[in-house]
Amino acid sequence: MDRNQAAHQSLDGMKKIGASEAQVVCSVSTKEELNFAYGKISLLRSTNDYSLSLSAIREGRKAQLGLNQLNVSAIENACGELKALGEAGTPDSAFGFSKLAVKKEFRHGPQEPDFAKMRLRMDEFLHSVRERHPSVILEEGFLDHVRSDTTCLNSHGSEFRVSHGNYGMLLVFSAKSGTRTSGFNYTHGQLASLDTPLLDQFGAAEILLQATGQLDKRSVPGKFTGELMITPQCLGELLDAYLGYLADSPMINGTSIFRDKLGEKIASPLLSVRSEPRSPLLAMHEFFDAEGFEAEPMDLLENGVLKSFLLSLYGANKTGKPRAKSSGSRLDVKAGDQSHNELLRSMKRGILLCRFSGGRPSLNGDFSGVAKNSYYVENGEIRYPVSETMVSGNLVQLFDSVRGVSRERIAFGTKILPWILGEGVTVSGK
Amino acid sequence: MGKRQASVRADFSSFVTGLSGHAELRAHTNRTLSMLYVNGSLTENARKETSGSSARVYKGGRWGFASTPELSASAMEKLLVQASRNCELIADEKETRFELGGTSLSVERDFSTKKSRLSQKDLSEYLRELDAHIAAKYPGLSGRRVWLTGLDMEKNVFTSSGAHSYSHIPRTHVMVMMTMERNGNPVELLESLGGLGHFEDHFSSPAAFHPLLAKLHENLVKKSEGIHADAGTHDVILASDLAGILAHEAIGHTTEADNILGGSIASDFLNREAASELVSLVDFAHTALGEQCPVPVFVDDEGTPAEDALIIDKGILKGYMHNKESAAKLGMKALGNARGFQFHDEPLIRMRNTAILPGMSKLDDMVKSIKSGYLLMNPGNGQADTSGEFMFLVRLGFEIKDGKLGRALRDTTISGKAFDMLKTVSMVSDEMKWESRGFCGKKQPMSVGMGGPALKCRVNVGGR
Repeated sequence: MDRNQAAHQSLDGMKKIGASEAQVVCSVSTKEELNFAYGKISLLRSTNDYSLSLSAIREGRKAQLGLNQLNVSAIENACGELKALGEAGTPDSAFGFSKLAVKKEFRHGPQEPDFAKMRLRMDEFLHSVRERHPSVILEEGFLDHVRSDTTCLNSHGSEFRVSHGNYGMLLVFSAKSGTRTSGFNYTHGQLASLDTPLLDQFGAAEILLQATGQLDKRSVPGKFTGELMITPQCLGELLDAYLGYLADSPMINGTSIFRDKLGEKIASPLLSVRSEPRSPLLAMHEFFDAEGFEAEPMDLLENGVLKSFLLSLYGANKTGKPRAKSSGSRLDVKAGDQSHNELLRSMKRGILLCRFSGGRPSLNGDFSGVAKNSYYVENGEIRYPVSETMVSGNLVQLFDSVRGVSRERIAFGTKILPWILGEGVTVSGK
Repeated sequence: MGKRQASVRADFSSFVTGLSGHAELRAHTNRTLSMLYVNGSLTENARKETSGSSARVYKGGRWGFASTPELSASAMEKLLVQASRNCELIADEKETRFELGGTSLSVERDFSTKKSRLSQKDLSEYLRELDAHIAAKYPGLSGRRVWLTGLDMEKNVFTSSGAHSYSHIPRTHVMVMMTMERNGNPVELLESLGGLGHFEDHFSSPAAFHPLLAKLHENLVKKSEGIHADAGTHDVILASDLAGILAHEAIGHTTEADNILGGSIASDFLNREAASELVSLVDFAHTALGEQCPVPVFVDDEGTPAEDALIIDKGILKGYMHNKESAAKLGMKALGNARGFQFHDEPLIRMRNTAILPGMSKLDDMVKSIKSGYLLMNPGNGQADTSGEFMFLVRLGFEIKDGKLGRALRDTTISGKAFDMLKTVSMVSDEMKWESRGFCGKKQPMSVGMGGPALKCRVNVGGR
């Protein structure tokens, strides 16, 4: 049974158990993953998998079942189990799926792996790092190709068929000399092609170069309130935490600090963030969401003004606020008009934050954590790499305080991110 | 596609036993359960099962791996061919080849419940009753979340040396998150119960939760009135629920042999002082201090019989955690730390049940001994790196002034350099607390146990 047959059989099965609304997402995926460890190719991993995700609403109760078998008996059993799951649920009129009977087919990215080119790029990368950065240990990483073919059907006639392929890369490394170590750093992302050397991807060349200089770190003395310049490698996680306040869970729970802020200014006018599900600059595209709606672009922040929450249909129905047109998993942060070097030169005193090892920010935006692979900056100059130095502040205040956004950006596969400069952060050393 | 599945318990030994070099086959099923009530609404009601098989082959110093969602004899045969072919595709004649060794053994361990299984409806009723109690008893909350998570991991491993291991390791947790708002500032706090076993092994009546909920609410109220910590280095008591994550993040990760080979600072401390002599740390395989560990491992996914790994003995760093290859490279013994999370994941070096051993002090005496500092508890996420610098989130804490507890703290993060910070440990409590709720993140997630007593030490505290 192929994925389309499995999807149709699943939808029929859910109708037979009495589902008033139902949706199925069925995928077949393959992966070829070339791994390295300690600077040498170590493992070639080939996987294939199926994924069948069934969601049914019956008498107002919703249940979900996932499996990775596509045969007739597995699907029949799954539908039976889904019925029992649903009976354990509580009726909720907020549950639902897209009623737009959209039928679309998408094809994106390299569909087949070019293994010879993967090997060429990997060998070239390992050789370059060995030659240029003798203190660097390439602890682990991989270059992979993932192909997935997906069918999404729902009971209202919505149908998406997607063939998606991409390359991906992970690099974890540190510099070590005698007993001195930089501590590990990493970068990762997805690629639409292997036309460019891996060293030129995701800021890898720059952070590898920095590693050797980070062998001699020191703690910032004492404590001060200062500026924070955040690199693209570091911005993604902080931005995810910030945008998390717009999502279902805190909005439904009523704990989101932005729950009444739609249309209001919540951040610096220099910050504009768009959800771009099919940006040509991104290797990973989003085509439909978990409730069967086609993913469409939308503004999240426009010049600091909150333009949309990240609510699913369920979240929108629960809160009475508008549904998001896409999940916010593909982001474009608008470039500014200064270079990141100009931004750095404008800093009085603070930290160039290259990696943040921190606790999950609190519901009110408070955060604290260690500035890793980062630098102390004074009067526009990098003074030294820091160790045992913590940064603490509030995400809302930090994004509100942004006074600079770089014109350079890095595309990581799911996000395009600049350097940003904010202030009002507590920096504390030993 | 469409072929009938064999059982994960089928005997596939004939395909791999006796092959030259090292080869392994694994049939593997993971089952997850997730039910979430948010403010009284069941917003998530889901189960998932993923199963399949994999083959991994070591030849010429390199590895080949292949996996499929099928569980059948023919699939196993094909996987071995494909894994061998993958090895050949990346072969390098100059590569150093290690003899990985192996033993012949057969071990079966099944920790699934022996009680009658409850229906999904029963589970939902339990959570609903728990949620209703919270709503009625604590009306001042601005939000509440009650959820159940379960993970069953069933594996059947066969290796070329004749090792066979079947294991069925379930774990179940019920968690409660309360949220409260004061002056427009929301604060939250989480507690959980559960561990090794199925729901039926841990939970009978929601009333068993009530004392924990009362304490959780009391602490949440204090936290809502709490202050930011004073940023900087302080004397602190890390409560027993924090010692486990310290053991895991600060020491455990730096002593995983893949990180040692990757430049971890721990390699500079082998057989040297790495901590106060009050500190001993063990990665337990399956039994600790006469009790079953939360994540018992008897044979790992490379067929290595699992033994306890002594990492720190009275302050001296004594060893690392290995897979077969790192043990061969470093001339040490593998003790069963290689595990894969899903059927399509290759085994990596993973901690099992990493714990600091209890000492002699009483927690009250430890608090009394601090003139100015903090009592820190209720851990969140954490991370460490090869320099030994660690951090983790602390969701609850209290000031200590002149040996007495004072105001509560808002969320904070603590950090330090493991082998410096451990030398500041001056008191170790006589209690022991285990935690197994979360996942350790590496290339793959993995269930791990972590435990320890309360510690008096100096750490860097994030704050204002």
